[in-house]
Formats: sequence, structure tokens, C-alpha cells
Amino acid sequence: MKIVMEKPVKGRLQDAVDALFALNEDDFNRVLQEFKNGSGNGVVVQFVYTTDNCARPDMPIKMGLIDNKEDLRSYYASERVKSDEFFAALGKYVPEQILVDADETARATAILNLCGLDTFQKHYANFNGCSMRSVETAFSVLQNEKVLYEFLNTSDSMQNIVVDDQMFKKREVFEVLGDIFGYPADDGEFKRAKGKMNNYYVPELGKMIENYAKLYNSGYNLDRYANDEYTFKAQFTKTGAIYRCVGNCEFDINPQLKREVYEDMPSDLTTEEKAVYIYAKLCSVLEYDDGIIEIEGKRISKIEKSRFDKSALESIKPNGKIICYDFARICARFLNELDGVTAMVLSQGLIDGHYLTGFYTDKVSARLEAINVSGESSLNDLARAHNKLELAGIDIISDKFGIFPTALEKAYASVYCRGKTTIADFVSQIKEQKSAEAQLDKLIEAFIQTLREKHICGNEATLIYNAFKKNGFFGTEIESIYIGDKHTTENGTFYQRKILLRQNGDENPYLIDVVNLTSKQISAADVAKNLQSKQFVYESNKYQLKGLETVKGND
Amino acid sequence: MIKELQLMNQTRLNYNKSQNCDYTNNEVVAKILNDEACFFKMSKDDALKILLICGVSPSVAPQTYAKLTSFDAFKALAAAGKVHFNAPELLVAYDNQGNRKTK
Repeated sequence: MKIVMEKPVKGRLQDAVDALFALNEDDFNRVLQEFKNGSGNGVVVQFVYTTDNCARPDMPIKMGLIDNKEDLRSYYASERVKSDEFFAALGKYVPEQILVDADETARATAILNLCGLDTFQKHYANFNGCSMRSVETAFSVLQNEKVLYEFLNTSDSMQNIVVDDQMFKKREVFEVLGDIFGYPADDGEFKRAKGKMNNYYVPELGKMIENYAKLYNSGYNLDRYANDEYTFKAQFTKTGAIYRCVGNCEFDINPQLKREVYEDMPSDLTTEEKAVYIYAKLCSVLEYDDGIIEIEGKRISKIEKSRFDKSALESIKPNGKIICYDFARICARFLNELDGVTAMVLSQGLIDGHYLTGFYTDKVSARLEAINVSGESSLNDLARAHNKLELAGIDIISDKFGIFPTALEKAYASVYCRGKTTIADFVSQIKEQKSAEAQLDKLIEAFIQTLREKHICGNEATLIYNAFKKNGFFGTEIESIYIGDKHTTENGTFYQRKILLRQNGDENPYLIDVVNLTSKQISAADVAKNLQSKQFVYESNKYQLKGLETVKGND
Repeated sequence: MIKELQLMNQTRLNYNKSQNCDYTNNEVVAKILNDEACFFKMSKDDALKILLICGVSPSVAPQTYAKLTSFDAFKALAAAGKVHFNAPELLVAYDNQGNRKTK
């Protein structure tokens, strides 16, 4: 649909607005109908001058609204009025920001009502086969500060959010927003939404992009929804195809291989760390089948392998021979056993002749290339793992939180036993030493020092003391009891538990304060005096240090 | 139990330091005790040596060792994924029925 204008007067944009307003009622209704019927990427009306380039200048000029069939002159290559700029110009007439004719306001309003955000949402939902409700819900996250705040304050991408009785399913929201708003370009700008909405009138788009940027830069990794490479939907080389293969061609991993891979896997790894560990472990325990050759397009091996051979895959044990196809499939199979991981076999090359593994979680996405050399390396990851070298075949697509470097370090520590000293190594470092009799007072001081260093006090310190005593730490000839030490404060009188500890044969005990973490030796006479004055009380009369009450000097 | 031994070892380390005595054994033992399953990965003689370095008295050490390498202790570590029943580095282990195996 085109509107032909005579010649430039106020500039193409304003001339376009004036031309729309100048249409007769029937033609304007045709324009409106075009907007009502619009779908896909919205409606574009072209505004051309009779002086613009055209293919058939010999044909008669038709002014005003024409459809493509009526464009006998075939205008081309003329400067275009961009839809978003045109709508913005119309927007100045609604509401009465400037003094305008009421008819112009009515026309501008009628057009803009048909190409607003709700129209975009409807077109988007229809085009992508999703529900209008899910699209509206997603946009409300960017339009409602309260909802956005809730999203920004819970970074668990699986946890749904309820605000004012409305449920927001994060995955649905991210799928819509990620697809529409995308990821930042090299200059940091989010440009995708502007492109998608340039045929619509969305004056609040700038604010929505600003809010989406907050979401993108928060604790979520929206790359999963914004970047088709993340889930391997997009081609990843100009010439290479992607062959996605997740669940078909079922087979079981050989039990020996499974045991070998899982046996020494540390128990405290995260999902992504487990995935990297498994890849590294497979690289270290499998070997490339150098015996494979191609004769007239047919791959021949020492043991002939077909594209999918269940029994051949199931027979691959530790130190088994593999080619790229086997490795990609076995690796994908292992990774798909992990919760939260989607792994697949990818094929690459003009004739799909090479295979590798791709996997993604909510946080990361990467391709795992074990067979072909990557970058400037002259060794593939199988050779690297066999020689305990750092792996080079992990091609990271998205790692917003810097997970891979740590995961690799942990994998090296476990798979290569790098930096890992065994218990036997440590035990061999122990020197033969004669232990001298420890001095009790210094031992108690050291005990107090440890409690302070470890920030242990109160009841926990008492329990630790008991464990020490039970193990004979302070000596076997030790007796100790609890006493209450009287304290009077403005809140009343209370007794603070202290430990009275005495070495057999030594009448002066040590007093350990497990709350303030102090200790001192106290004379038996002082203990007796305090007991008599009720400054000290035995916590239980069953447990007393015998003889203290009758120490010489007591009254 | 390991936690208590770690604290005892640290206390002996502090004590030896304060007495200007060699505390390198305590430093080595601290590293050993970082592995909660360490007592299943060493001989009884080595274990007793370590317990003495921690400050466990010689008369109590055999009982403490027995507790540290009991089936209950093994099951707890296995449940936490810290030992595996057939791990090759284990010198002391149990089968599912609680039968003790030593290398």
C-alpha cells in the first residue's frame, strides 16, 4: 500500500502525515482496514512523491492511495518513511499536545489504536503459536515495577512468582521476552525489540528495554531464551549444519564405563561441574580408533562401525576405541542423565561428517569437541586428557556467571589428580617424635586459644571440652565438675556455668570460663571460701571435687 | 568426631607453638583430617599415631580409632557420598552387611 504525494513541501515525514489526513473517507477506511487485517510484522504504508524514482515513468501518475496493483509506475528506491517515526509523528496529534483539527486527531487515534502494543502482542502470539495471555503476562513484567522487583529479587529461574494473585511462570516469561528483546549488541544496546516493533506504535518501548536490561543483567541467564545458539537451534558455522539428536537411538552406557566415570566423581559438584567432570573423564578413559579408514565413502574399522550400532555403543568400556560419533553420543547420553541438563549430538560439516556434543543448562551452554583440534592447539581433548593437559575443546556459548573455569579446575583436580595429595602421601610426611608430658596450664591456654580462633563459646565450648576430656586430651588423671558462679545484675541474680578442673594430686584447680573464654588457676582455699559464701554453687551435688570444702584455712 | 579431632589437633598445634616445639606434624595432620574418610584410608598403626599427635591419650586411642572406623561411621560417610564401598584407596571398608574388610 502506497500513498502518492505530489512533491516535497514540509519534508517527507510531515508530508506523509498530511497526506494521510488528506485522504478521502473511503481511502482512509481502506488504510484502516489494512491495519485491521495486519499480521506478522505489522503493516507498512509507503509514502512516495511523484518525483521519486520509478521503473515506468511513461505510465500515468495516480495520486493518493494506491495498492500495489495500481502502482503502474513502480516507484522504487525512494527514501522511506519509517513506520515508527511515522507513528511517533501521528502520536503528536493524540491527545491534543498541539492545536490540531479534531478530524486529524480522530484519524491519528484510529491508526495508532490499530498498531499499538496490544496489536504487536496479538501478531506475535499468532505468528509464534503461543497464547496471548502468556505474551501479555511477559510484557507486564516490564511494565509493572512491582512485578519486576520480585523478578529481580529471586534469581532462581525455576521458581515461579505470584504478585497480587497473578502467577508468573518464569520460563514462559523468559521465552517471550528473550525472543523479543534478545541480548545486547557489541555496543551494549538491546536492539532486537526495536527491530521487531518498528512497525508498531509503542511509545513505552524505551522504558521496557531499560527494564529488560535490568532483568538481563540480574542473576538470570536469559541467553538461553535470547540466543538461538544457546539451545543449538541456530547454525553455528556458515557451512555447517546442525543435526540435533537427543532422545532417539536409545542405548545403555556400558556398566563398566559408567562405574569408571562416576566412581571418583566428587559428591559436592554442581550440575555444570558434573557435566564438565564427565566430559573430562570420558576424554581421559576413551581412546580414538586410529584404525578407521574410508574406502569409497564407506567407513571401515578394525571393528566395522555403522552410524548407529546399539551393541557397538554398549560395548564401549574404559580404554575403549571410539570415533567422534561414538564419543558425541556417549557423552550426550551421560550428560542427559544429569538433572537440569539437555545434551545432544551435533553434526558439523558440509556432509554432516563430524559429530560433537552440545549441552546446556539454565546457566551455561557449550559445545564439547573432543576429537578435532580446537583453536591453535595441536592436540585434541582426548590427547590432552591422556597427558593431563588443560582441555581446549569446550567451546563456550554462554557462561554469564563464569562457571566453566572453576568447573574445569575441579575436573582437573579429580580426573588428573592434579594438586591432589593422597592420605598415604600425608601420612608419610609425619615425623617420628617423642611426645613430652604436656603442662596442664599451657594446654588449657591453648584450648582457650582454639575456642577463640574458632569462635566457639558457651554450651558448644562445654561440649567440646567434654570430648577433649573423654579422649584424655588433658591427661587421664583429670577430674572436673561444673559450678555456677554467682552474678548479680540489674536484672537479678544468676549463676554462670564454669568448669573446675583439677589434676590428680594438685589441690589447686583451674577455673575455665566458657562464656568469656578465659581460664585461671584458683587456690583450693578460694574455691572453698566461694563455695561457703555461695558465690560458687555445685551444679549438681552428685558431682563435687572432693575435699575442697575442708581445705585448710576454711572458716 | 573428625571435627573434635580437628579442634584437638589445632589445640596441640597452638600448644606446641607456645612452647616453641615443632608443630609440623600437627600441620600435616590438619591436612589429613580435611578428608572425613581419612581413617578408612590408612593403617591402624598410622591412625593411632595421628590420634596421639592430636592429643588423644594412648590409653583411649584404640577405642577412639574403633569408633572412627566403625560400620556406623562408614555408613554415614557412604550416605554422604564421601566414601564408596569399593573405592580402591580404602584400607578399611565394609560390605553392605557390615562385614569389615581390611587390606
